[in-house]
Amino acid sequence: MKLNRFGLLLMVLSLLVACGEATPTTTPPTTPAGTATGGNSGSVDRSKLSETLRIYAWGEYIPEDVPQLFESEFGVKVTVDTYSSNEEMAAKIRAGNSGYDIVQPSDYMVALLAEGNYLAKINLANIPNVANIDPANMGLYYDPNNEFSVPYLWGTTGIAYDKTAVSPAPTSWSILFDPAQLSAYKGRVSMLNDEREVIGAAMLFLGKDRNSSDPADLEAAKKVLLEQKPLLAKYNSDNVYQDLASGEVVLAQSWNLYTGLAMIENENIEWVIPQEGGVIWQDTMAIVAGSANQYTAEVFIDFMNRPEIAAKVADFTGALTPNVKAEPLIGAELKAVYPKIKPSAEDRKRLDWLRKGQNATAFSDVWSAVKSQ
Amino acid sequence: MYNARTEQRRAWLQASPALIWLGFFFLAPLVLILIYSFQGRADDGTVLWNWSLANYQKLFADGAFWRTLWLSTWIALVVTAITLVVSYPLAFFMATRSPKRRGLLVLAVMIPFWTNFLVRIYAWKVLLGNNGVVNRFLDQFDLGPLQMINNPSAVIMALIYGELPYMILPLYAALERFDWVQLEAARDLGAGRFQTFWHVLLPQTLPGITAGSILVFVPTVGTFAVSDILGGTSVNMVGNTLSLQFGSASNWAYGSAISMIFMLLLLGAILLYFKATREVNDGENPG
Repeated sequence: MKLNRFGLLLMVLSLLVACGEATPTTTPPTTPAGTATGGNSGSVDRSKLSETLRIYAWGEYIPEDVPQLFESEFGVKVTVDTYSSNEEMAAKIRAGNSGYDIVQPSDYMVALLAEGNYLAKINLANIPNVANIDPANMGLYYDPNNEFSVPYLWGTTGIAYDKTAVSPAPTSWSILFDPAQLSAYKGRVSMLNDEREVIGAAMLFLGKDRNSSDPADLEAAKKVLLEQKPLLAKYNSDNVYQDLASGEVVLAQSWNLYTGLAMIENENIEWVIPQEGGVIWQDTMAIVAGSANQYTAEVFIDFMNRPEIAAKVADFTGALTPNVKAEPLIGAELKAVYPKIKPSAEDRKRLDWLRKGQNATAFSDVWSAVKSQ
Repeated sequence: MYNARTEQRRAWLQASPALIWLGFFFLAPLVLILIYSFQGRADDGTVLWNWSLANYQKLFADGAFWRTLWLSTWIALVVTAITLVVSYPLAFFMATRSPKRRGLLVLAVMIPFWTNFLVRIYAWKVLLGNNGVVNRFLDQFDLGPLQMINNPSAVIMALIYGELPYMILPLYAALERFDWVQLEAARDLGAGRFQTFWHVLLPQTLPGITAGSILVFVPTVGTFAVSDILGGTSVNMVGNTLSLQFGSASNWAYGSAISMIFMLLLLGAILLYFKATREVNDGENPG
């Protein structure tokens, strides 16, 4: 019975997704990992490896076969548990004795955890593949010398839209915040369910800094958001790609990672970093302070930075890989949309980070007020 | 004297597993939340140890919280009332079948439980979405599309659907124990159908109604997943506020204060409800 119901749901779901293309999570065949593709296993001191390695990762972030590939090459059993927010992960790490060796904090969370001495200093000498990473993704504000983190995936926040429904092509946040423009798409628009992303976008629309917590700016942003709210379908950060692909929404504040997945399923989906600017983010790999398996963790991080493994990760997630050598190895599906979701050098100048931590209460108060109206 | 003390000690000893269990899983977390609720928020999102009443002062002036609480309560009351009205006849039907049939019917009520709750909620979205099955069907006749999700009605409907078994089963348990001869006796004594129901059946199934109502009301008033998935922008419930405070806002202290007030109000409401139903019951069966 359970199977039947689920089967039915799957059937219905597949009916809804108009085109019958393979799911974006399919990974292309890759050459066996290891020495043949320029791996580093030669320089690894196997006597120093632990028996197990425990990873606490974002959900849907590590391809299922990757832990096995590592295990078959190095004989280290890798277990992966998942979380769905930085805060959820941080709570466990801060409580101590989490048992995890590797975590995947986003930019701002690297800074917060490092400040609290929850992350171990990484010995980059054990991670030669760090040379594959784009220098633009290294040495960023949250970890200027990459003492605590190695980039894993990165992306941007902008506007995704269905070009058959939204014209002319939007170039400004005003399509989402000017009621006169937005009302044409009433009920078919979503914003991320994230106080910093949504308030940050409103700030950009108002010509303010995306991180401003100035009370007057917040009050102005709140006003804009309250005018926008009745025209929205919802606030959603969980499955924007499904909504875009199926036509449930035609205009959305989105991460490029979701947009790429939507583009793979629906060729009418387009992406823009608005002229006022957008947000850049980066997820990393870091080692938990006090981990007994630091060397093994470093070997694992190096393994993840092999071009063929990093390409697998990009294919699996739809996010941008910081690994320059991985880019040519990306599977055909993602490759087709990759140029659209990767910001150009010009776009990149308009991107900046959401610096979270301080003043969080000011943002969550505005957010609660908006959502409860 | 000596005997009494031994007896007392033995009683405590016998109760100790339960006491330890309660202390560890119920009291300790509760005390922790109470302590947190008097602290503050540090810049990195951890709890700042600094005793004050600030969270409670903020909470009582926080219009957003009270609006959210009002909406949650209203939704939970509607859901509980409709679930009760729908479940009672069904439980009655189940309880009056042959014992073998009854088992099958209980199973039929239970089976949907075996599918993950989130999957069942997403199924509603698939059915009722802008491009959902129903709207595609209506499209064939040039009707619609109807806006059926992203509003309070969708949340209420999905909650009723999800909570039905919690109401049906206690009602069924109460009705199954009912001695049906009493109905004949009431009829013989000249009571009409409604009088029989109101004065004979209803009072005796009141414990089932009370249990079912609480089992439905409590999880409903605190839900956040259903309102997130089907509520659109219009439904922000206390559960959503709590998940914000304990999640991305990282303000555990304020979240704890909200939890404490929410818990106290809920407890008060339930005690009042218990008292009211007991009075109704006592009124029906004096002595």
